[in-house]
Amino acid sequence: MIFTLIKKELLRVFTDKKLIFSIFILPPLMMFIIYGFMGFMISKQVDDVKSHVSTIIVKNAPEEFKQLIPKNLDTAVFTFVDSNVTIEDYKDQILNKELDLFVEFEDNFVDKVINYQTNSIPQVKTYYNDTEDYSNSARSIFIDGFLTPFEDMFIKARFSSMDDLIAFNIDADNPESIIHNEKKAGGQFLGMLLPMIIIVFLFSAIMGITVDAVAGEKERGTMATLLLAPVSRINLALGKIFGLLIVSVLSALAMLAGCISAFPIFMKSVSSAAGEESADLSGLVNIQLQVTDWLMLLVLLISMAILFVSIVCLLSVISKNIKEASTLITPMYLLIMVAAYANMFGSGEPSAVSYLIPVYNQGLSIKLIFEGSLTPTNFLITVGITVAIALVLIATIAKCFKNEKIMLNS
Amino acid sequence: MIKVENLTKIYKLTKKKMAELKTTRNVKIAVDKISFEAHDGEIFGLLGPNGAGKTTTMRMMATLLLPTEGTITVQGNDVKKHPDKVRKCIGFLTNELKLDPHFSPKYTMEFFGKLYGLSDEQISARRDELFDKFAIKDFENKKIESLSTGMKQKLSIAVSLIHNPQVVIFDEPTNGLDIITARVVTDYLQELKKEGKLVIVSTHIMSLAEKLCDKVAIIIDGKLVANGTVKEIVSSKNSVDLEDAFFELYKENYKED
Repeated sequence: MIFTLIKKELLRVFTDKKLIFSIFILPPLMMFIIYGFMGFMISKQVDDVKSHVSTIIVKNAPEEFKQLIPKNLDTAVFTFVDSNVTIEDYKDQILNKELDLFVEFEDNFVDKVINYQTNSIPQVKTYYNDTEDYSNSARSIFIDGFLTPFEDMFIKARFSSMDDLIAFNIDADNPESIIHNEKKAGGQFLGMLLPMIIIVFLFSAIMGITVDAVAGEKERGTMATLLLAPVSRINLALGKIFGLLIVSVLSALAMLAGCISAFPIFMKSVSSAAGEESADLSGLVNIQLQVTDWLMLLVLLISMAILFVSIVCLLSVISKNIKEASTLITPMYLLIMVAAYANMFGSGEPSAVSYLIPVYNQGLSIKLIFEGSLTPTNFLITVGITVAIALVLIATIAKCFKNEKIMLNS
Repeated sequence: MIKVENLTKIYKLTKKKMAELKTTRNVKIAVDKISFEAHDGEIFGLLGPNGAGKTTTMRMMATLLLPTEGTITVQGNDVKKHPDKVRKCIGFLTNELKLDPHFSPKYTMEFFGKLYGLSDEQISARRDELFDKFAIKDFENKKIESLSTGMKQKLSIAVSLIHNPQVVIFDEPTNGLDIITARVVTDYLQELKKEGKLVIVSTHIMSLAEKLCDKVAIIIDGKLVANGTVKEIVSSKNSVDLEDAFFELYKENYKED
């Protein structure tokens, strides 16, 4: 009997092209679009800063410094000005992004460097806008590319060898310095975003079908027809819940598949833009989940789907129609979003209490699976709490199905 | 056979409902100690104005509502103790019961047939019979949402009769039906009676009751004010027809709150 009811719920979804699209195709597609767009924007930003030609104004530049700058420089345009201008004349230009950097050498800079006394070291002042990528990048180009070699020139003249200034090296020829936890590095990024995306998308997919299957049936009057059939109210409630559950779990799996296939595309576009660092970043693409990790993830998703279906189902049962159900579910949706977002932040060891908070513990556990540090105890606590709450809600739903006032809106 | 004894339904009213009904009492007695019997092979009419308690009484017979007091037995099964058994032997139809517009008539019949515990062979035999009767065959694979109102009504009737119930309860059987479909339905009710089934209909159309019903019970304000054959009721009030008798009874029994 219960299979007939489950089959009906499944048929309702799988024979409706619009529902198939919104539950199984749209969420993974959204993952692709979100990650793809993020990757595209990040790589575009990196390329853009790289290809930008910095405009730099240098006041009182010594002749020796000017000679260091190559004629056909394509990363920056230098303009040299004399001592009667001040930074005040250029502040607005820096704020308006017309100018990236203003640099000021002290008067008689070279003389002061050569004849320096203790406590009278001459200074180079740089003025830039730290909220602008172009300005920041102009300052690094200026310091790393020109100012440091210029300083090295004087130090060499002073001590004849640079080595005299170095007492010891750190990791000069130790390429294995970083002992990389590839699993954690690969999982960290995914672990930060994925729980939130899964929780929010899963809840909204479940919300759509469950509200229609319960409050919608009440609104359309098809629920009353079902109540006339010689099926116990509990079986009727369970048939609905199980049917919706199967759909929800499949939707969660589709989402997960979407995430995992979109992730490498995202990393590829980021690492290709990052250039030299791509070798390091490519390590992040390899998400190394063991069979047990996959199983834990699957169990977490199923338990979360049970919880979400029972929450939405209960709120839909006590509503007269779809509109009333949506009004009741919206605050719940916001709460769940808060719990999901809370996982994005916070580092260090989560406290034991964290695993007792529903929904939040789900996000936390998913995050830790990707980082490879979810303990079996915490996994079991999370699943246990989730299922326990869901069972209480399901028992309440079954009770509501027996209540003529609730079921017949009378 | 249906036996109704001292049937009472009391609703608790919310403050909002009390304001709507302009009453200071926090309960409403929808059905007040009603008793009657209806036997196989007859068409039994529940008559009364809107809000008299006809629908509430029928919903209690169909196990959708629980009686506050009193008992109903349908084919010997108590509605409170064995609701599943009662549902197996009745077919109930009102305008408020709808079918999921997404599915086809064929699938809908199959789905409800299975819920009533019928085998595939029983379902397809019964479906063919009912679809022929109500001329649904040509539309059986279309979505219900694409059917006309009349066709939907006929399908609802067919679905409620899939399990060939011994007792058929129709709330306002011809309400909202076009004249042709209404005739098909009333003819079918006669047929069911000939097959030895008990048909209970509620209506406020006295001419229909006069034509169709072997026995009627008149309910006014939740109370049973008359019970018997149409002839008995008409002669007890010295009236020309059932409509006149009804108004006599209404004048005697209706009290404004």
